[in-house]
Parts: sequence; structure tokens; C-alpha cells
Amino acid sequence: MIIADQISSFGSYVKLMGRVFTRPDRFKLFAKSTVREYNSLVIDSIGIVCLISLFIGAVCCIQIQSKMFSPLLPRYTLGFTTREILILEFSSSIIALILAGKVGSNIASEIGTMRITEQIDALDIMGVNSANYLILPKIVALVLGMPMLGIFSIFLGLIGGGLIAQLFGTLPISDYIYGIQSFFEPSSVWYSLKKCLFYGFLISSIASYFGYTVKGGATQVGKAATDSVVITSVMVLLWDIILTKILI
Amino acid sequence: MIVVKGLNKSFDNQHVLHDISCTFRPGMNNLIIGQSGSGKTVLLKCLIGLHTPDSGQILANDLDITQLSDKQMKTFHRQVGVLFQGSALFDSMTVAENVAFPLVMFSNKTVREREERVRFCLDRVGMSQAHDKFPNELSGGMQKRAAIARAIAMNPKFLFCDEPNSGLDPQRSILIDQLLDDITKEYNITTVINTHDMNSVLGIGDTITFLSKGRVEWVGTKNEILKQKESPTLQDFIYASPILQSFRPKTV
Repeated sequence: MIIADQISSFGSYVKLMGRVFTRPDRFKLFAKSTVREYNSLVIDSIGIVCLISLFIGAVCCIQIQSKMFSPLLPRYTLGFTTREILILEFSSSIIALILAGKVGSNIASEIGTMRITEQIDALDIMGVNSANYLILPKIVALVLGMPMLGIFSIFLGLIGGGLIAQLFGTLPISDYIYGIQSFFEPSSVWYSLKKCLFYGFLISSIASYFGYTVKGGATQVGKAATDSVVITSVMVLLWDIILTKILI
Repeated sequence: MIVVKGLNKSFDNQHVLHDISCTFRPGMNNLIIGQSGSGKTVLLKCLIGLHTPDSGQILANDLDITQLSDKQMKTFHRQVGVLFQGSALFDSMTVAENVAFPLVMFSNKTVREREERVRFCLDRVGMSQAHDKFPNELSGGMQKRAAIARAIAMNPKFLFCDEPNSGLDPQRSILIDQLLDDITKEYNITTVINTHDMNSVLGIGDTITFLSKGRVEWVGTKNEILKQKESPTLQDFIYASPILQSFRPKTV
């Protein structure tokens, strides 16, 4: 029964996406909505992404430094390892999990409230494709914005690591910077950005689906927001494995 | 004109509408009345095209809307104005933007022409002072009037209203009824109003369709409803109000 429900939900999700990815009725209005969503979903998330990335970088640096006992390891290993961890995993996946909470619940509750207050019915009756009008700008904004947040996260994470190395005096900053630059492969940044693009789609589309299909009242909107965060987080982790296997 | 023929609708195993046949005429307030759970809202949603009936026909100016493709339904919806129970104004937009929204989406009017139309619609419902206000800054009655302005912005041929007086005091209710009546007559719109407010029934009920347990039990006008004796269920419905109880015919 649970499996049948999941398959049915997946079918509804695919059908909804079919309605979302159609030509907007008015391109100018779509562009305007996308800019507004970019501002609210991406720009407003820069603060939290920067803060968390700074701390993640710092913690990575402390952890690595505390495990570096061998005198054979060069000192720049600290910068090198921090960079690799941030680019390959933390700056895309951890940020996606954070945004699944912040942005995902915001999208699900906004669209869910529109559903229960009949605003979506009003759009449908005017002859507007409500799924396309409401959801497509959010998906486009987050898909375009996630790579930018990923880049911010990488930079802030590296700065956090550097600050810790400098504050604790365990490594001269020049060695840390040398480590960051060592054995750098640009392809790993592209790998991270591709993951960000995909996570942007997952977060916005799953949260929109939960909001759009709400039935009932305020309690159901709250439940939809929570469900969207849980399901999106699980999907981000699942796709993290799949994308890592495909892209590496 | 809307003609409904043999309409049936069920959800899962629950049969909600049974063989509904009725006519809603242009330039008249066509009221659908009945107790809660009698199928009024389901019938209204079938008329609007939000629910697909199991069987039967809904002819809107001879066009059977139960047979329309998605694209044809979108075109039909552009001739329709709807006043929802909770107004359903877009809360991220001002009142003027709400009224302008269908014009922006579906008309080729210039910005100036749109502004003129918005001003006209807001003036018509007595809401020109709320041009730049957001829906959450308005009272319930003002929200209803703004929603009526949005509904008439595209010159609809059909206007559907779901419980237009819910949540309003009697004076505001009468104002909304009067406004709907004026607009219906002035623009010759086929207006279908879903209500259980007896003041509306007796005030603007040009035609009244009484639903009971998903069936049409009585059809008449505001002048006939108090005199009718065929339907005891309708009598119970009418005279449930303590004010009207004293007028109940003693023979029933």
C-alpha cells in the first residue's frame, strides 16, 4: 500500500512537472516573476549560506589538523584537504540540505497557502496555467542561483579554514594558500556546480509539488512544508550518491 | 444562458449530484440554494469547469463545456468571472494589480488602457480609494468588492459567486447583493450565485434552484418561494430563521 502511494505520488509529481514545463503565457511577466523569486529564494539565502560555510570550513580545518600526526605529511595538506572536502561535497550537498529547510519550507507553505485560500483556483479559472505561472519561476531562479551559492560557499569555507589556521597559529597562511592551490583540477568545481544545478531543481520542484497538492487547511499546509523538507533532504542525499557515481 | 441536462457527479463511492437539470438565464441572478452538503458547491464547480461530471451536459451559450479540451477550456474560462467565498485575491499584489492581472495576461490593451479599465472597475464597485492597498489591509466586504472588480475586468459573459455574503454583516451583505444585481442587469451577465442566505434569496433571487441531497427539489423565483408548499424540505430551510418562522404557512 505504501509503495502504491509512493508510485502514485511520483506519477502526480511527473504530471505536475509536465504542466510546469510549458511555454509561459506572458514571457515578460515570467521574467519579472523569476527576478522576484531569485531575489527572495537566492539573494535572501546568501547570509545563511555564508555563515554556515564559514563554520564548515573552520571545523574541517580543525578536524584535519587534529588528525595530522605524521611528520611526513607536508604542511600544505591542511589547505589542500579542506579545499577538496568543500568543493567535492560540503559546498553542494550541505548547502542543498540547508536550503531544503529554508527555501523548501518557504515554497511549500507559500504555494500551499495559495491553494487553501483558492488563489490557485482563481488562476485556473482565469485560464492561467497556474503550475507554470507559480512554479516555473521558482525552479528557474533556484537552478540559476544554486551554483552561485555553491561558489560563495566554497570561498567562504576556504576563508573559514584559513582564519582558523591563522588564529590557532598551526599553519602560516602562505602554506594554507599554497595547499589550496596545489593539485587543483578545475573539473572538480564543474562537478560541484553540476550537483548544485540538480539540487536546485530537486529542492524547488519537490517543495512546489507538496505545496501545490495541499488539501485542507492551515494544519495541512504545515504538514506539507515539513514533508517537503524531509523528502527533499532524503532525495538530496540519495542523488548525492547517484551523481557522485555518474560524474566522478 | 447555461443549460444543465442530466448532470451526475460522484466522488469515490459517494454520489453527490443526481440527474441535475436546470437553466440559468442571462441578465438574471440565478441562485442555487440548499443546506450545507446538498451539493451546491459541487454543482458550481462543475459549471465553472473545476470538476468533470460523470455524465450529463452543461451548455454555456450552446457550448458543451463537459466536452472541451484543455485549450478550449482555457478559452471558455476567459469569458468567466468568479467570486470565491474567501475572495481569493492574490495577496502579493495590490488591489489595482489584482484587477489588472487578467488584463495583463489575456488582453492586448496598452498600459494606459489597462489603467483606465482598472480605474473604471474599481469605481464601479466603489473601491477607487483602495487602488494601492494590499488585500490584507482591507475589510472582508472591501475584499469582496475588489474581487468583484477583478471578476468583471474582462467583461465576462458568466459570473459565478460562491457564498458571496459569507462572513459579512447584514448591511454589507445587502450592499454586495445590490452590486451583483446591478452588474448582472447592466452587462446582461449570466450570474449564478451559490448561497444559503435568505436575505439574498428574497432580495435578488430572479430564479432560484433549491438542491436537497444532490437533487433539484424546487425551481422558482423570489416571489414564489414563500408561497410554495410542494417541498417540506424547502419550507424547513426557509423557516429555519427565527425571524421568518412566524410567516410559515400553518397548513404545513
